[in-house]
Amino acid sequence: MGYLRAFIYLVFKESIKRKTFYGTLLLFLLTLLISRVLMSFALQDLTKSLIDFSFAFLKFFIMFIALFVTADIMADDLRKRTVYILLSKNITREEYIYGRFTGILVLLLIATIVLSFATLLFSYINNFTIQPAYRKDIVLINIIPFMFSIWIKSFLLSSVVIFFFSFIDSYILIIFSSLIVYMAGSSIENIYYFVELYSDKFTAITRYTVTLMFYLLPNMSSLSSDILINLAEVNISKFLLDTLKSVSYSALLILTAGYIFKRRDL
Amino acid sequence: MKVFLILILIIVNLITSYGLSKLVKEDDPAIFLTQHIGIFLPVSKDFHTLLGNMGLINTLAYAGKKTEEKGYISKEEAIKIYRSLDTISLLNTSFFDVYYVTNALLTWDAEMYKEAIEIEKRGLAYIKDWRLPFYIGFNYFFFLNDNERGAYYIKLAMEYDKHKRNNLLPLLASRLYYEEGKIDVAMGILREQIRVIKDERLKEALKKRLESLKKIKAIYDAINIFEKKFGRKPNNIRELEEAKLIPPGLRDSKGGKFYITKEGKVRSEIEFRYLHTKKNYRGKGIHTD
Repeated sequence: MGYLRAFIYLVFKESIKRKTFYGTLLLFLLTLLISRVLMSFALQDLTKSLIDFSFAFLKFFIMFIALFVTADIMADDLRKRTVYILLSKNITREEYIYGRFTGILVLLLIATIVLSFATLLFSYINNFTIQPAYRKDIVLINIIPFMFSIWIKSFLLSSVVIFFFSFIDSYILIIFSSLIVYMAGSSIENIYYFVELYSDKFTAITRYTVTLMFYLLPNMSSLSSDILINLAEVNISKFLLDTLKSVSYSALLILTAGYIFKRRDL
Repeated sequence: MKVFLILILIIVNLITSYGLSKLVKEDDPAIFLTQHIGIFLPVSKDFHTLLGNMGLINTLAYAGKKTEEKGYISKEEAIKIYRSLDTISLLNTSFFDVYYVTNALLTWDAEMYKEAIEIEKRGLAYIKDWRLPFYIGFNYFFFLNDNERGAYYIKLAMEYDKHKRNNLLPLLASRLYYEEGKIDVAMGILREQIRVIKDERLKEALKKRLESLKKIKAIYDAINIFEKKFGRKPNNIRELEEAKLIPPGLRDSKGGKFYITKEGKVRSEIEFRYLHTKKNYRGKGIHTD
């Protein structure tokens, strides 16, 4: 297990050095300011507008970090031949995949916690600038399930990237394929619901295809930010099932990636 | 040479951007309205609320621009606004502004009451804000002359209100139930509110309304007895007084006399006079271009 700790340290050190990481953080802060401006367009429900914008941007950036940082780290290992150095240190190829994934997992956890609390703090302070008649209370404790949900989805996306990395060389192709899985995975729930609701309007083939996709694809949508202002409740059983599916899906992808990478010609 | 080329390209870019900015301003703002919900199905659910917020800003800009241009919104434009708001309410179901704008834009002049109610009812499942059922109730009784449904939603608004112990919505709900001839329900609502209300002045107003309703109930009872006794309906209050079925000189809480209408409804000169609804409203109405 010692190698995992080394990988965590390595991923963290590499990410801190990356300019893209700081660029993303800067952009994130900028979007927070934009969400403050966009909030002023709301007429009555100002807190809701503030939360909607700022936390949607947060989700976007966490996913952005998960996608690009993972792809960057993995592709750099091949491009800069770091992978050969690592593999020469008595580490198997599978351990390399698991180690990298664990490092990214921890990095995403730290990024999610830091950015979520920054967004929460920003929203909380701005909420006080709203006149009481248009203000809603922010339920601070609900940031925990919200944050956890984003983190789960972010490392799920990372495992998708690592899975594609295990057999694709091209950086662009890895990003493109992962993006497609992300988009399909985050909209499949809507499509499945829609097809089930109007099942009589679709052919049997369409229905079976959508159902198959629902089972095959990872579910990428996370909890709604409405829980932060008590406009929605966490459906515990759905949340637990969703988490279990995401974790097992991620584990499956990483194990498969390790297996494929072991047999790959480097 | 390269620097010169870069400068030329920057200038070309600025000129084309300026030209485009002029053309963009001429665009019909309708292109920014939110389209059918089906288009958003492939978009991640995580960003639906964001799209809903942006869509509402665009819809408001569209409505504002049209109103600024002509001073009113035409029927075709109102339909476009309705479609946009309908989709937005599905994208961001718990955003109160959607329903607030729906009520403001689709009711008074656009006269799309049923469409507005349909959107607003969607919000009821997600938002516990007294204004939402109030809008629905108001639209029912004021625009569609459906007092019973109006009263139901006003009563709902009264129950949603976090200041339940401090509101006068029961006055309106009871009035609407009275209009529907459901005096017992009207009195029940008032009794319940009198029980929980804290403000003494508000309590006094509710008590006065309850007293007036009790008198109306007594008059209706007297009318029934009169009918059984004389085989016909009384022509006026005086006949009931002369038959000693009600005490003489009954007045509502504001001092208005009671009377019986041609339809047999008991009204009073002040407190229970005819309820003015959209039928008498002199708005601009919908415009057809």
